[in-house]
Amino acid sequence: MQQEARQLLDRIAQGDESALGDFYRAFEGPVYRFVLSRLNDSFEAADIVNDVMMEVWRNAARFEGRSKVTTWVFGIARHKTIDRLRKRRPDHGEELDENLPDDDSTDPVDCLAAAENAEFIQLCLERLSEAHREVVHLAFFEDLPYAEIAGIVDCPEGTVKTRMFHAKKALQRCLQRLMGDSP
Amino acid sequence: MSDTQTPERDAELDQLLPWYVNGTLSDDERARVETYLAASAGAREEVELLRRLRDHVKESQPAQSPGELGLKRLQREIAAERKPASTPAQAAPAGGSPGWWRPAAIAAALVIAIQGALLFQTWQGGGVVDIAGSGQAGGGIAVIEATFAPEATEAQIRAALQAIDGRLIDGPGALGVYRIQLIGVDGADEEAIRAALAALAARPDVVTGANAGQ
Repeated sequence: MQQEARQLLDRIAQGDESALGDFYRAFEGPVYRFVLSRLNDSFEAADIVNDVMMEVWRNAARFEGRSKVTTWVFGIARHKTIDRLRKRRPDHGEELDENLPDDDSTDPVDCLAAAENAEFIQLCLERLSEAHREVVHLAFFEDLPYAEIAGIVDCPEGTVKTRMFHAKKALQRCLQRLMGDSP
Repeated sequence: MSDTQTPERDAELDQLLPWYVNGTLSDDERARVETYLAASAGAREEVELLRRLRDHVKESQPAQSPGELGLKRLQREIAAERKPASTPAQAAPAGGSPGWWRPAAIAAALVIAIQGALLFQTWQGGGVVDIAGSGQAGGGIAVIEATFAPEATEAQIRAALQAIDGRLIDGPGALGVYRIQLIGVDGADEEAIRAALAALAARPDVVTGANAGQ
């Protein structure tokens, strides 16, 4: 996959539009879902997919192969998503304190029971911060290794692990609350 | 607890559990996590929870990305970039109002749309989209006529239009029918129109009926 993608980029750099079509078909779905996981707006997500592919078209020659093609493309998408979020909310930042202590008082049995309920899981996922949803999406939908996620979100591997850990704790707390509220 | 396990080590291994679940750990990391799981019931419960989360994330992702319509949009923008800049004679006169051509162009486009209209079997919510081959004149803009569910929100309608790269150009008519232009799609492009109708058919909560425009 990565090798094929690299070859497509080489052809795109030569102005081969059919290669861009193949590249688009390979990556538009994953890029769209990734952007949507942060923006939650299908209109804007589609716009960003278009912007990302235009950037690939214009800058394929600049890809130096120091990262995977996936990392490069998702990285472009991420930057454009953050730009869009900043326009939406000028004070937008990552808003995460990675050192925040977690209340570890969740009951795994309650959480597991709550996780049987798809609506509970969905509700709790939607309540995560954008940055937490982003890592959960990359790890659980795209099944990416933490090193590659670190390349995409442009932070150390340890931060990715910590971010995922906090996301998991937040989900557990949320599930347990919902379980406690349900009759 | 074995001699190699400490709270710090447990915490480190806890942080690897999501990547154990998605199957991307190195052999060494996976072996260490499996040893940890064999010794810790709590860790096994966490893994079970993470598996359920992952299953949910995979199952709940929206399936409708821009698809081929998005590719057409991309190709249009690339083509537009390649076009040479308009000549001074083609450009709007400075300070002048070249607006005379706009109504004429819209009228011309509508005439082309009517002349080039495609005849399709009408799709009514949930039915199969089918294209009848006759009556396709080719050329012109592609128009779809659609009705929306009374309870559909503006955001839902906007998302449905975005999914097909369409814009409202007329309506509602007396029967609540709206006309939607598929931006940049040629009236003879059966594949694109079929895809747009299918995309609308996939949103029965928003779109109650759709067929190719007359």
